[in-house]
Amino acid sequence: MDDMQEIQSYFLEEAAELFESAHKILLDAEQKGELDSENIGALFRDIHTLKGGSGSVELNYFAKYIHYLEDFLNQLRNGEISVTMAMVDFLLEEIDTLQEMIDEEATESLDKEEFKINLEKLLQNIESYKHSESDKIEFANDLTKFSGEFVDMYDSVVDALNSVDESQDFNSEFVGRLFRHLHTLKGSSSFMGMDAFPKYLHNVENLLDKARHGYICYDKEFNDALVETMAKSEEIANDEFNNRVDENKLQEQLMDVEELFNSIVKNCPDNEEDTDKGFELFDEDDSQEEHQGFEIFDLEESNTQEEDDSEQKNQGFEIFGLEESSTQEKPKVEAETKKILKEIPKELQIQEPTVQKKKTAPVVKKESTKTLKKSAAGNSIRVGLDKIDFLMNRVGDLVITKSMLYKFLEDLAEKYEDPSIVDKLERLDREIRELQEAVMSVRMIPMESVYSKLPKTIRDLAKKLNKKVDFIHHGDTVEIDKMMVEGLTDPLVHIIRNSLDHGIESPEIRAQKRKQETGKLTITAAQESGHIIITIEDDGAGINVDRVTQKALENNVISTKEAEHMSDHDKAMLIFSAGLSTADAVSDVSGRGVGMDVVMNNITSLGGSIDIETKKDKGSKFTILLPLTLAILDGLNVQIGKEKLIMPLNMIVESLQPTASMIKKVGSEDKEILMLRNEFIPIIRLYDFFNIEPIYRDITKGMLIITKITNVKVAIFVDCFLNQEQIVVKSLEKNYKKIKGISAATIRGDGGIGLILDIMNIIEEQKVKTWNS
Amino acid sequence: MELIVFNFLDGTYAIELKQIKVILVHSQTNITPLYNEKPWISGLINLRGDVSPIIDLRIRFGDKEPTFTEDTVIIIVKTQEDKLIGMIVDFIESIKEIDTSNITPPPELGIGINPEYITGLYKNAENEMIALLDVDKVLAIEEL
Repeated sequence: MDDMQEIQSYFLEEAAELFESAHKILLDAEQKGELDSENIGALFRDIHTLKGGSGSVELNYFAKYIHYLEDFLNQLRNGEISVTMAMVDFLLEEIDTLQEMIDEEATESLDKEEFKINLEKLLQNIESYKHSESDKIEFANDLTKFSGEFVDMYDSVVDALNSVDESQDFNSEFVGRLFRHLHTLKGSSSFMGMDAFPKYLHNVENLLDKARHGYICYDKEFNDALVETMAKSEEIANDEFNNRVDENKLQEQLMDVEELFNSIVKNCPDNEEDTDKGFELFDEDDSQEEHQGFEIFDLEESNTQEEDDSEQKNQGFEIFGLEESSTQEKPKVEAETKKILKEIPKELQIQEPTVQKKKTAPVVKKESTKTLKKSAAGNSIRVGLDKIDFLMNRVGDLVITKSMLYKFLEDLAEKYEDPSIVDKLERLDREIRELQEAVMSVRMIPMESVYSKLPKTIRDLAKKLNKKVDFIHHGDTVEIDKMMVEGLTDPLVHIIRNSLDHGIESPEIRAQKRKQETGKLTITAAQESGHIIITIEDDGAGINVDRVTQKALENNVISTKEAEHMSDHDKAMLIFSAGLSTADAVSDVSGRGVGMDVVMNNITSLGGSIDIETKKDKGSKFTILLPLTLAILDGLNVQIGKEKLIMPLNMIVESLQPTASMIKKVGSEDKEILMLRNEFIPIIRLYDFFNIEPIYRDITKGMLIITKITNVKVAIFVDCFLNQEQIVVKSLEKNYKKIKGISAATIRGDGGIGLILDIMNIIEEQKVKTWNS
Repeated sequence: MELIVFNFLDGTYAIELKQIKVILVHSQTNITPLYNEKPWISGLINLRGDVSPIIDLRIRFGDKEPTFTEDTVIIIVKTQEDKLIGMIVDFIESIKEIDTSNITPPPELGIGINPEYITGLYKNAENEMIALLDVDKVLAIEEL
């Protein structure tokens, strides 16, 4: 049972993602105002996956429930029930129910009675939708939307046909598999709203069913016929995708199938005998030609799939050549092969107008390639973070060991005067570096994964509060440590909740204030000055500073005396104190005073900080500053005396070696200013800051690196700069504490520690110094 | 109770063995110095992919210019604050199993370092004296 629990927990994780994906689809649709067939298709796939998974991990109630929903979606998908926008709400609700249900069942707290009620409600709802068949959206015609899925299934039939091995052993397992794939293809194509194609396949399926039960022996000839029929079926499918099914032609084709198979079936040994006998016959048959037919299918696939990949194309033709020669011995098959072969080049020249029936195939298949690739991109496994950390540290050790080896070999190379030893090691060095980078990137995930959870929350809240909100997010691709994401989601949700509840006003009030009825909630993420900066901004009422202060006084968070000395900003920050809520009534959304202090706690525990800017009736902006615990940073090595320090590259604007005329002294003290293109930039001597003995004290001999943080430019004086490299940021706070002027550290190639400069901190410290002096 | 007994500033000190994570030989450890920190902070080391600070206990308790020999070691300790911090001592004497009943409270005066940093004094039959170092206090972040 432990095993099952483990598998179940994996499934639950996967389910969470699928739910999220389903949410996203529905919310997008809601925003667009249209639930199109593509959405339904995607939703169906998510639900279908959930259903399949839940069944296999023994979440039986859940599986039962979701089965009905899947059914419903399927009916939507093939147009049996027309799609209305009201369904978005219904579906969202159902997904919520499912989410609850899965949690309950997994924790074995599912209420059977409630389940029954829910299920009945679901069935009633579905039933009511079934009868509201009013305006049927043109749905069935839009087959191209399903082409991807279709081709997937089609390919699996072909693959099944292909899977017969050299020995030509058409055993019952093989026939069974083939039957199942064909059956799925038939069923699904009819769900998709196809008509002629499933009809055609139905005949084939019947035959195969007989073969499966041993009434017909599945021999080589039968297989040949099947290959031929599948090729024909593709034609039919293509016709149907183009909405030009010719009834007469279809009837003809149907007849053809029957004839074709009748001729074979007659020859067969009588039914009801043991099938093994039939199979034995096959073993004597030559296998080569059989295979040929199948491979052509393969080729068609690869050719069309990689339409734009010329290399692949060539490869395809090469194989063709080969095939043609190898089929020589079997004239019949050769003819057959050639027939198909001739068509293939046409496929490749899509623009050629004379190509008729096959012409559309590449288009359809191209789409399928997309979906295939998409699904390939989603191919992932779940790995525990500790495993990745372990891997990371091992790679780190490898780097160190390599450095030791490097040093040793360098001495050796000197001794034997053979420089090639070191050359070889340099290659190893490169490879290890790449490995290191790859491992590092595993831990990083884009902000998108944080954002993806929010739209649903925002929508639900806005509905509950009767407010209108547009959710805008930027910086989806900014990479953030997976560890960070987990700690970040809660605070974000709390802030958003606060913004919606207290910030953004109801449409009526907004109208009074001459604001747009729909409020705006903007979240951005950026990597700046060694931090990840996340802002959450709303255009609502702003924080009522006086009321916050009042509440804080009432709750004894601050004393009257303290309040007198506080700036408005300090007062606004009071909302982060425990047990403080300015909402007059406690609602189920917010108002209990827990929430914002949770935000503060979570952010602080992540080693970050939070700040507010607020303006009455203009809105509030929360800025969260997070360290890049394990982020990757591009750094520039700078040298001061014997020390090497790392400067974050993203802060560097330019570097230069100044002439004496560019340096101005200001005031009575020797405060130095760099005059660069009419700009006055203060100079900080880094050796002074760190008390390191420098090589140069003369500014014109060393290097000035101009850095920029939020519009403030500062010139940092160093001896020289060295190489640039990508580094893993290691927190100093983990085992130590914040160090003046240093933001974090990294492990250098030689196993030592590299220090990363905290320019922001250096500037601030320098300011304090100047004030004091 | 199992103790690791070490020596610095000519005194014999010990901490519980279970608090120790690793022992490194000083001469083979690459310590990156820090600037603007207290004089006893020797610097940072790479401890299996993590960054750990190193404290020179000898400087911490008064030695201006301690000597480094082949015996000088860094004892990495996991502190109460869940930090991995290394401390430099002159040499490791032994690992000892002791009877806790032989531990007496630290005397107000008379041993090398401030008794504030000593949890107890161990005395055995041979009149050997070992001061039990309060690493959680010595290595508390606010002390560094």
